[in-house]
Amino acid sequence: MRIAVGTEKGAYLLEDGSGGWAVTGPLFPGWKVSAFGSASDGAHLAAVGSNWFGVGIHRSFDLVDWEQTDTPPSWPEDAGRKMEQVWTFHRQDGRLWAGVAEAGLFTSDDQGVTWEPVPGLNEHRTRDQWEPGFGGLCAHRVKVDGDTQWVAISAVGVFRSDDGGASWEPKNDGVAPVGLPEDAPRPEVGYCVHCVAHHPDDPNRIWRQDHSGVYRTEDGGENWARIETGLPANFGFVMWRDDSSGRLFTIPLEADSNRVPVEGALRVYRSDDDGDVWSVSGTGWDEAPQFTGVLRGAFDGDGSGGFCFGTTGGKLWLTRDHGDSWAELAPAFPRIGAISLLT
Amino acid sequence: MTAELRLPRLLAEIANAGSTHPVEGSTVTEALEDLFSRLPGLRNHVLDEGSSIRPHVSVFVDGHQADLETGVGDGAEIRILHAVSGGGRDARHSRLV
Repeated sequence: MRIAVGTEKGAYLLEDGSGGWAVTGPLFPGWKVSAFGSASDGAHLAAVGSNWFGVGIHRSFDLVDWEQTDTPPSWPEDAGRKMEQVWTFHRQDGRLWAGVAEAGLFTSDDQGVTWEPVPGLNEHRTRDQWEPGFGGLCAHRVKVDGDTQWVAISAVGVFRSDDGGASWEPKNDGVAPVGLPEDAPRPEVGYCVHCVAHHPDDPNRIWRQDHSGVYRTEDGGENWARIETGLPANFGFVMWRDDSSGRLFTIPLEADSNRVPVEGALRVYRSDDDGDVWSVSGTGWDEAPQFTGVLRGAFDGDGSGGFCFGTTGGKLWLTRDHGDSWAELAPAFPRIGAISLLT
Repeated sequence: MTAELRLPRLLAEIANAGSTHPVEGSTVTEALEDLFSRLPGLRNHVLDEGSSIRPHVSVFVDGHQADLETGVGDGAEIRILHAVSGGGRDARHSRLV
């Protein structure tokens, strides 16, 4: 197993062997590494960023030699926006999508070398109502299933396109808006989606960790309903589906005002019934308090029951048996924001 | 005019380049364009969306803070530095939602 770890200060590669985990890095020292991806030509992708120097995208075929692309996603001068971070990559067939902050969607048809904006979303009629969350105004999850596409934007909501990305509509009915009284008129946007996971065979089944709770839709986002039975808190940033077992995973944090595990009990919660009921995932958890968070990009799997998450405290946790047992790895890193299990 | 342009470590490493580069040009803009012709990936890191020097990046010519129009003499030293800044979030991002 190989794990790519993106942190506030560089990226690290872990590979398990007979002598334990071999750690390589840092790659991109001093740069925040915010997302990993892959292109259809076999290149690995890494998105980097800096408070001073903006964003960049790097490609590598061997994870050793990385080449910076000349033209990462960028906003036109007259847009009045800053390109702050590449939050996610998504690939279908030969095309790549990148979700970015300030929130927007870009596509690449040349393996991530050049990028074009998606105006139907980026210039949406509700754009002037979009407001950032604590992590910025970011498009952080993208799912493409032919002409049907979804984008999750914090703190705006989930959007869906049914025409290949030409036009988009918010799809958040049933989700509680954040920062409004319950009896206030429902806004069209202003829903703080934190993470989503799609069913691989039926992408209209979506599970959602939102600022306001945990939800599920069975109709592509037309209607959302809460699924929080068994969770110690409904706040968090992770929603992950292990497609090899069908299990769902999330990591509850106490609340938006205190983004740490409830009573310091860092636990993954899982559901074996599509989110109806949740319980602690397996064994191996540290009994000592772990007042650390887990961010939305810091959870990934290998498709065969092995998955890993990283914490804001720089530690990694790993399971190889679909979440039946967990172990903390020995190395420690800077604050972790991105994890990718490399296959 | 030939000048010597010095990159900060963060930029030199990310471009897989050295820290010192001879550049041609009679202004900072021309010198930077000469640099970008060989290291195009650095353009986005030095200039913002409006092709201005990024807000937290400074350019010095022979020890004096410069702008894009500043003249560059033969043998001048151009240094790109990043500001000592940070530690707080942009006010636009302070909303706890």
